[in-house]
Amino acid sequence: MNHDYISFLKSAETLGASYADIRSDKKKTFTLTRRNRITTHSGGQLNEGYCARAFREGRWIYGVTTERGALNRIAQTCCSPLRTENRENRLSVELPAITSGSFILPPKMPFEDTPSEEKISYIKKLEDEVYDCARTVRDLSITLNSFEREVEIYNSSSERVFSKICGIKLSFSITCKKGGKIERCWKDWGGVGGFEALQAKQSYIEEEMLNMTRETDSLVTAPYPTSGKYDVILSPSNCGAFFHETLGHAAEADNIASGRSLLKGRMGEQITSREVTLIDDPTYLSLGVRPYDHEGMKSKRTVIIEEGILTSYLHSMETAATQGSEPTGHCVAENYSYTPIIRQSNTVLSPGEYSTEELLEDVEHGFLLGEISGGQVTLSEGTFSITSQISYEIKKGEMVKMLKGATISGDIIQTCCHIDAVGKEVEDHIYLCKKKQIDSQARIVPMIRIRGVMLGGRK
Amino acid sequence: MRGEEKKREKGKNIVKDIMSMGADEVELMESHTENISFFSSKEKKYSLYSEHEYALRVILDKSIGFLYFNTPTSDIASLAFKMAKSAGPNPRWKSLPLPQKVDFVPGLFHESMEDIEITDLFEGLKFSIKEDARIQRVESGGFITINTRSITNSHGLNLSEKSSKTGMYTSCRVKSDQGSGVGFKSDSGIIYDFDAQSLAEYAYEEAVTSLKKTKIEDGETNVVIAPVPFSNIIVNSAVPSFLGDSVQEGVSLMGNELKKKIAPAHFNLIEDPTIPGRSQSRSFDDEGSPAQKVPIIQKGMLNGFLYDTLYGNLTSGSTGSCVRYSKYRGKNLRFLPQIAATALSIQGTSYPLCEVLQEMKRGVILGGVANVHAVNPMTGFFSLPVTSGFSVEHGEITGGIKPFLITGSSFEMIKGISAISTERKRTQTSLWPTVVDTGHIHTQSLTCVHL
Repeated sequence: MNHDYISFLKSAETLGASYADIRSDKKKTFTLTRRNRITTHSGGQLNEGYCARAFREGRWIYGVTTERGALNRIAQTCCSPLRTENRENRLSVELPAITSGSFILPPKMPFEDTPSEEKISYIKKLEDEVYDCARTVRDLSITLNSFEREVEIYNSSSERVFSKICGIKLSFSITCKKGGKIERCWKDWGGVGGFEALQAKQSYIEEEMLNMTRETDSLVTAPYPTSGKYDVILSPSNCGAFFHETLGHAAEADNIASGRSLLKGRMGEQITSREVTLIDDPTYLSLGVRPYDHEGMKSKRTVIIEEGILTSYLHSMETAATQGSEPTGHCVAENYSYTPIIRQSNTVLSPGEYSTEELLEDVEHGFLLGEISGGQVTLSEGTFSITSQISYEIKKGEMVKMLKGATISGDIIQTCCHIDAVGKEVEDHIYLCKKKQIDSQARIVPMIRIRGVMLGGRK
Repeated sequence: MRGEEKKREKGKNIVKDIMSMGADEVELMESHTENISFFSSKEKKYSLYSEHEYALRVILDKSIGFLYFNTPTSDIASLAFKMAKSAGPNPRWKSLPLPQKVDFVPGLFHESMEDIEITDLFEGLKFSIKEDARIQRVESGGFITINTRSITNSHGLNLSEKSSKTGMYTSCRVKSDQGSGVGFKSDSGIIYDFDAQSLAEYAYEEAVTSLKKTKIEDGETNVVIAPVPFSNIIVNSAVPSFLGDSVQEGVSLMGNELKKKIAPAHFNLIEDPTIPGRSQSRSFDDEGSPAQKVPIIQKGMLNGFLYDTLYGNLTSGSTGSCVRYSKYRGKNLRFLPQIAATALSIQGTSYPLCEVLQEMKRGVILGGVANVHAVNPMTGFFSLPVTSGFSVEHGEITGGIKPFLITGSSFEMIKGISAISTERKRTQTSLWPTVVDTGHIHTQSLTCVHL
């Protein structure tokens, strides 16, 4: 172990910390962007630094630095007693132990080593197809983004956990314009590994990109949906965001500890309709994969809701200890400059038995919400909102009209109890979560149908 | 300080190395940040943060290479050069900024910020709220950041500026058999001298006021929007149309509206990062162009757009509006500099808030909205859940409102503004690096839908 690490861990111990760890975190990203047939730039980020923590007298204290030599100074500052401390509020728990281990997922075709001509011609081919597909394209941006992250954790029990994961993402943004009217749609695709991860999905990506181009073209002149209470079908990308934002965040044990979550004290209770089995799976090989979290804890596939019953929260070392639960390994940091917080990984909804036609046929008048635009919850109020980029009006079981995006909003539990059907065709979508820190994960989910949801349109 | 000087010297050597490899132009931006964040609730936490960052732009035959790093290793120069070699030419590229006269904005740094101890921060956070069994949770916290940013390029531009920024907030959550309520209040500046007691009292009063909630009537409503939600709505749904890249790429709905009336005659929207003593002010932008005051909307007329050097070269030049930031993160060096507003001010016919409410007579106050990242930045359309709303009858606040959706278009909302309260607040918006200075806005043409 490096002497700066030893020095920090020893200083922390000498100054009374019962536990301390250092996360050495190296994250490289490479980007190539083309906008309107021009390569705007080729870029890279080399993020390298250290996050040190000490658990002293029931309190976490953190330090972040880009210079390894500064770790000892952090130990001295972190562990000096505070005059303002309130002894009554200290945590009197023993943190769960981590054990040494490592995980390496090497790319077959590292993005950095792929010739730039190959990357540019890959994007150019996609551009040509998009421009051929619609004459109204006004702005087209395609970005290739890869990352490679090495995380090494040393702790005061002399355990070492190492992980190295690579991933790649393709971001697509298209704007169509007719006269004075304009609309934009966007989507990301990606996976773990190098350039081969995109090549494996090539035909799927091309098909989706062209579908989105045609939809954006039509969307420019499409009307807005009318506000009201409707039956709603959520597309897989919307469904993934819905569960991630609502029950996913509510199951994060830091939200339980702070009293914000509507799931506090409801373990074992019926939370949703019986159609719902919701899993957080950090072992699924997509952008949310992490065999170990950033405290060094082994990450576990965790069933949050089983046939409507709340079965588990997602934990860090601290919340597992304070709430008397098994650790689940869900404490993650965006890069070296952030302290780890409880995060979801890949959201999985077990498929049901309904085909798309069967989901539609029971809807008298409602909407199908297409590609996700964004979502957010107010956990303390127990409410959510999800906005789509596009929507379709359904009448008597048929999709009759394309409309601009819409927002659905309501009480989380009430809405989840109104899910009466889950589709059988599962899709894998990439999504960004912004819980204080940015993280990309996958949603492996089918469509769902919800009865009687408030939808916000234009009037 | 010696350490920082050494780092700057290393940076200058990297610029020389890249030029010697055959680059046409090189630019290096450095940023050194010291930060303390602190939090107090049932437990107290704080974190220390020390970071030195670099960002390079390398130009070779109009190809733009970019590299962010925080450890200047020996292979940085060749990697940055490789980035430029691997990009295709951008025909719009003309040049990095040449050295220009910069008028330094006074009062951006206060020395007292360097001597504050962690114990002083927690002392400054002390307050007492009256005993109330309905209080579920009170949280407070804050931060101090000291930053030095420096920019140098191969044309001889060499600028440096030090600034300090600090803030404090309190949130209060209450619950009773009538329901639950949340209150929040924050303040920011360049000196740590906040009134923690008044922040806490405001948060408590707001939480209690929102306890008794009634259902809103659906339909078009008179609305007063508080500074925080108004700033977030306007920055996410309208401001993107005033950025020069949107205009030049033909995706701004405002692109053909220059010198046309787009707001009431009393309304002004001004970008001004040159006001002394403000934490969002700066003397030069993130590629070294002098900061400027830019009236975007003046007396209701669209007057101009914001530009960096790249897009400004297509019109009348940079407005000093090139910012290194990423959405959700605010300012940072990790991405290529882009055009952004950072210091907006909303001005117009102003009265005290009580008179604005009297004028409105009956309607709602929007205290908070969620999901602003899902607004449409091109059309300006939004449909947002209101997380904190209050009903107004006969010009008086009568209580909270149960959750509802507010929908509308930001451009129509601007047209409907009739007054702005004299009580103003500067809000750091959630997605963009933009601070907005505004009062409560009284507007029409928004639609409410109850949940």
